[in-house]
Order: sequence, then structure tokens, then C-alpha cells
Amino acid sequence: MLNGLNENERQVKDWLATQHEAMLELLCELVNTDSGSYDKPGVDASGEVLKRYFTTEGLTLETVPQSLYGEQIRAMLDHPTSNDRRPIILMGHRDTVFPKGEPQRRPFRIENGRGYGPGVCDMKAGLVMNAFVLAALKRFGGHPGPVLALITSDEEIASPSSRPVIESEARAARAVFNAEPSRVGRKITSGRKGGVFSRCEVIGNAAHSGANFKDGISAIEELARKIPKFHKITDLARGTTVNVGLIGGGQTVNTVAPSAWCEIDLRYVKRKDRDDAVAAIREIAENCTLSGATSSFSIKGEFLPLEQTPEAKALFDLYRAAASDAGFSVSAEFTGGCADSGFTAAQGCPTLCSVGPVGGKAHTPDEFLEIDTMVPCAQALALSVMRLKEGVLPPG
Amino acid sequence: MSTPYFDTQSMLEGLRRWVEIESPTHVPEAVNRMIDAAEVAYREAGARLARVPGRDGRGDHLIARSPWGDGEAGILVLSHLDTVHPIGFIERLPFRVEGDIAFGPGICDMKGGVYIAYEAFRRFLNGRKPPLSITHLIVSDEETGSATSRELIEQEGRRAKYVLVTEACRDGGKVVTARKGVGQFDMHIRGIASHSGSRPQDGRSAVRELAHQILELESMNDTRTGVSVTVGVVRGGTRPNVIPEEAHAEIDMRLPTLALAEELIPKVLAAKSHRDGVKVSVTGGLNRPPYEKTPKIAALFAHARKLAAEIGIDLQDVSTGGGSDGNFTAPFVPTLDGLGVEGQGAHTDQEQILISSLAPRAMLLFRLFETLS
Repeated sequence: MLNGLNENERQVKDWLATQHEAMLELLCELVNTDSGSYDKPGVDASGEVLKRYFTTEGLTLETVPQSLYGEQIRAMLDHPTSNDRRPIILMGHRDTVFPKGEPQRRPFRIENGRGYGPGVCDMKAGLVMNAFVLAALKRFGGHPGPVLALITSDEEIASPSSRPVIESEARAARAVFNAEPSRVGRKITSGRKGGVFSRCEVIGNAAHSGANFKDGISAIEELARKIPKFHKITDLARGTTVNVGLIGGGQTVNTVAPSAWCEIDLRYVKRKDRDDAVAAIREIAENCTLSGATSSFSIKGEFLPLEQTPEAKALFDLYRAAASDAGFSVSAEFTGGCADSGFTAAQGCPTLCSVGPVGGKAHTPDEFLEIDTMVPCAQALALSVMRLKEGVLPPG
Repeated sequence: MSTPYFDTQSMLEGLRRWVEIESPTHVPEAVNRMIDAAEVAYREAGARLARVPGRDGRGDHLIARSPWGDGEAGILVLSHLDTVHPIGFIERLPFRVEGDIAFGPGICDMKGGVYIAYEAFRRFLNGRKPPLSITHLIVSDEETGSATSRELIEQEGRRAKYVLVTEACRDGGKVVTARKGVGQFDMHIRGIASHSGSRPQDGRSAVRELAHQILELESMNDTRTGVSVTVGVVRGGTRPNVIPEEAHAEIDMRLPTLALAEELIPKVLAAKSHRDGVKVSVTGGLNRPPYEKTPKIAALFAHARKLAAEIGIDLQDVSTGGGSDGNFTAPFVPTLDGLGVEGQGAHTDQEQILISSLAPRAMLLFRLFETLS
């Protein structure tokens, strides 16, 4: 052992240290492959970029076909002799929030040590990191059991097609490392809120605002009555928040509005808080106080919370030690942002989220990646995977 | 002058030619083809003509004046020949006759009214002069708020002793003696954006503020005074997981009297935010002033009612919430509106008139021209 690393760990760490340029090259191609969540051909094309890399590195590939969204990709590094056959999952999504054509307008570029481009930190850099970690383990071994890179396709829209795949993989997994970006200052995630994304539609009755005002039933008025009630569900002390993020309605200025709608974003900390809050939202959304108005409610998407468990805490301690051996120190903080890690944690699988390279300003044109964090983050992740065999997390 | 004869069949045929010239407000060259037809008709009848060129994407306005009474305060007949129906709508709603009903785009609102006013006016152009001069102002943009004709309407209105508006009559033949004023406003709200998951405490929701503002606006509705407020259109926010930075509303307000307008419009314009960090701004104002039934307007109606009785019509009047160009003149000159034809379904694919109303309504206008002094 040298500097706390065994020979095998040193090989992996040293090889990753030589891959900085190769990582940037793959990242550049990946960022420049347009992959907005609703652009299936684009999301699939970005998957091909990663599949080509995995094939070159000799890894086994499987895909889960999807008709509406991009396919899910499983790149498997097997370990036929391990006792614990449950795979360790390196998870990441390759869809972005951006509209079609964004990489043509804003291709990958590097300025003053930062990489820019759509999805550069959220989370294409994380996918590149996962791919190189898997390649390193394929070359040098040292993984304590099967390792699976799971690449999903629709996280930015709450994973409608990936969620069942993620949940089924998580049920059979030993641990999950999710490659969402670490935040500036080397912060990873100790916990995340759950989120429920819903829509309320109100129907009124159209009428000319001058000649037939009395015949009108304003869907906009009913919506305006509902909005403050939705907001009242917010309970900051519990960590429950409601945001009516989008509204629309009406026809013309001189027509009593026949319809109106809003989209509601609920965040909560504890799973037990979810049902009460959703019931309260539904109650308001489905019942009108304006005579003659009707309304309906639907849930459009959902993330589960990433709750802190003793196993997750142990996983963080393992990662922190590995990071230290990779030359950096990390801390963890709670965030209200949602991610796929909530789904895996809810299946009882120890989950560590935001182990990707450092970045910020996700979902904006200013999104950036600190490119010199790609190698150290890959090293810390590889060492963490290798050390799972040391019994930090007892199997079963 | 002997009582003229208004021939229903020939008027219907003339009206048909006008209806078949489609003239949506937004297509100025189409409106001008319609204005051309009216100009030709008045030229042949012997009126003095002036044509005011269109601007800002609108068609021309036409003024047909009597050769007599130049410079004296007379009768202003107020009409428009633009329609709301788009080009090609005639395929869906062709001119057709079913019993006593004739269908067609703009036939009721208001080509029928313009046509009968022309028929009544032309009888004086080659006959005996009535006491007052007659000016028929036909504008091209009433359906979108008369932005390019308002000045002309007010200018001609100030020179007139009476204004007669040829909008269709209401509810089985009633004329209009009052219309609410129309206020229109845009409300913009700016809050502070933040991520609803990770930084909810940093945001100030513009949508939340807009909901408060809408409820305050709705509370100004008053069935007793007849004030109505409609928030017709709203939008706000960018993504569901972002606390909305901006929200917007379009507001329509109907005001029966100038006193109410002066009381309530400043309140709308002065709307204030309920929360630090959120700004509310409102633009707009009184788009059409209230058209109130003054004693002079009541007297004008009483005169029309007497004339109507002579031709067998029991004329009633009504107040309506919808605006017209009559709103622009009523505040300073006695204005009687709804003197056009009887019909229904304006602005729809069922727009129609009662053919049997053409002749008596033309006669009523004729008698007003003949007797007002």
C-alpha cells in the first residue's frame, strides 16, 4: 500500500489520470449531440455515442426499447466469481432541458477552465465519468461484483419511461451512485426532496364581456381563487412547498374566459408528507367555489425523496475517504431539487447522489463544468466502487 | 314630398352585392373594395364625397355629404363597413335567403344598416331638402376599436346636431340609448425567479400576486351599478419548477357612467403589489367613453318613437354593455344607436337579418332625416 492505495487501486487511479483529453473528447461529442427530453431520435443518437465507447472498451450492452422517449442503456461489467451478485449501479441521464438546435447555437466550448454547452454538467460530464470508470475497472479489475452503467433518457421530465427500469434495477442492486453534478465547493447531496408535478384545468363559460357579461363564468376568476389556496399548503418548517409555476387562460380581452389552467409543483421532505399534500392539492383543484365552474386535476410526473439512511451515510463516508485519496475533500448538503436517486433510495437501495464532476447554472445558457474535476471525480468514484468489497456495506 | 316607397326586393339585391364583397378589418385592400362600392353608389346618387386614406394597416374611410347646409350643424349618420369574418368565410356563410331570413357575413353587423341609410339618404339627394344637412360617415375599423377613425368620428360629431348610428337593433327591434364605456388594461407583474425545489425561499411569485390582483379586480363587479370587470386573458411563468418571475393579464372593464369611470379607472391603474420584491404595473384606460341616456338623448328617442308609431312600429329602447362608435359622440351630442336592421348572430356563422325589417327601418331613418331640425 502506497498513500493508502493498494496496487490495483493505484493502477485504476493512474490510468484515469491519463484520460483527461479522452474524456473531454467524448464529452464534446456528447454535448454536441442534441438530446432534449422529447427528441427521441436525438436522445437515441446521444446514446449511440456512449454505446460506441462501451463497445470499444469491450463491455456488454443491453437496451430497453421505448417508442415515445429514448431507450435506456445498460452497460455491464460482470464479475462471475463474486459472492454478492447484486450489481453496483453507476446511474445517469442523457436527456437535457434544452430545445432542439441548442448545440448548434451553443456548441461545446472551453473557456478559462470551464466547459460550456447544453447539458455539459447536467449531466453529460457525469455520463462520461461513469463510462471511464467502467472502462478502468474493465481494464484493471478490482471491482467487488458486477458493475452496471445505467443510462436513462428522460429524467428532465420526471422519468416517465425510465422510472420502472430504474426501480427494477435498484431492487436488485447493491448500491447506486448517481452522476448528477457536484456543486461548486465540492458538495454532494445528502438528501433530496420528493416532487409531484400536476396540472389543474378549469372550465367556465364564454360570453361577450360587454353585451352578455352575465352569461359568462370566468375560468380565470376560479383559477385566481385556487392559486392562493394552493400556496397556503406551503409549510416551510416541514419543507413542504407549493409553486404554481405556470398559468394560462382565456380567449380575448373582451370574452369572459371559458378555460384556464395551471401547473403545480409540490416539494416535500418525508414520504409520509406526500399523500397529505397531494390530497390537499387535489381537493382544491377539483372543487370550485365559483358557481358553474368545473375543474379537473391530473398528476403529470413525480420524483420520490432521497431520504438519509444509515446505509447512505456509510456510503458517503466511503466516498469521502475515496475522494480524499483522489486529492479532494467533499461535504454533503440537502437539496430540494429532485432526481432519479429518489427512486432508487425508495427501493431500499443505498444511494449516493451528485458524485458527478463539479458544475452549476444547470438549465440555463450559463451552465458550466469545471473540467479539471472530471478526472478526480472519476478516481473517487472508481475507488468507492472498488472498496465496497471491504464490508463498509454489509451485503443483504 | 310624397312618402317614398322602399322596395324590399331591390334593397335585398343591393345589400347582397355589398355582403358578397368581403371586408375584414385586417385586410385594408378588401375593405377598400367595399368602400369603393359605397362611393360609387353615393356618387351616382349625387352626394359630395371625401375619402380619408387608410393608415396603420386599415382601409379608407368615406364621407358622403348632402350638397345643402354646408358648414351648418346637421345630422351625422355613423356606420362602418368592416366585418369580423375573415376572407373566404363567404364559402361557409354564403348570402342566402330562407323565408324572411337572409344570411351572410356582416349582413347584420352592419352592412344592412349602412345600406338602408344610403337608401334613405339618396331619396333627398334628388328630392326636396330636409331642414338639416346630412353627413354619412362610413369607417373601416370599428370592429377593432376604431383606432384610425376615432378622431374623424369625434370631429364630425362635434359639428353635428344629432348622431344616428346604424348598428343593428336589439332584442326584437329595440334601439340603443345607452352603452357602457369600455376600459381596457394590460397588467404586468414582475417578481423574482428561483428554483422551486432548491431555492424556494429566494423567489417571489408573480403568479401568486396576479391571483390577488384578479380577485381584487373581480370584487369591483357590481350588479347594482352595472360595472363589470373581465380578466379576459392571463399567462405567467416559464417552467413548472421555477417560481414565476413574470405574469400578465388583459383586463376589460365596462362602465355605465363617466362618474364611475373617473372613480374606478384610477383604482385599476394604481394597483399595488401585496409583497416586497414584486412590482405591479398597469397600462391602459378608457377606450370608449360611457354613452349615457341624457335628457337630450331621451328626447331624441321620444321623437323617433313617435315617427316609428306612424309606420306601425312600437319602438323601445335598451341599454347595452357592448360598445360602438356611438360611445365617441354620445358624451357631447345627442346620439341614437341601433337604427340598423333587425337580425342576430353577429360575428358568427349564423349571422342573419329579418328581410321584412329592411323597408320599415329604412323608412324610420328617412323620417328622422326629414323631421329632425
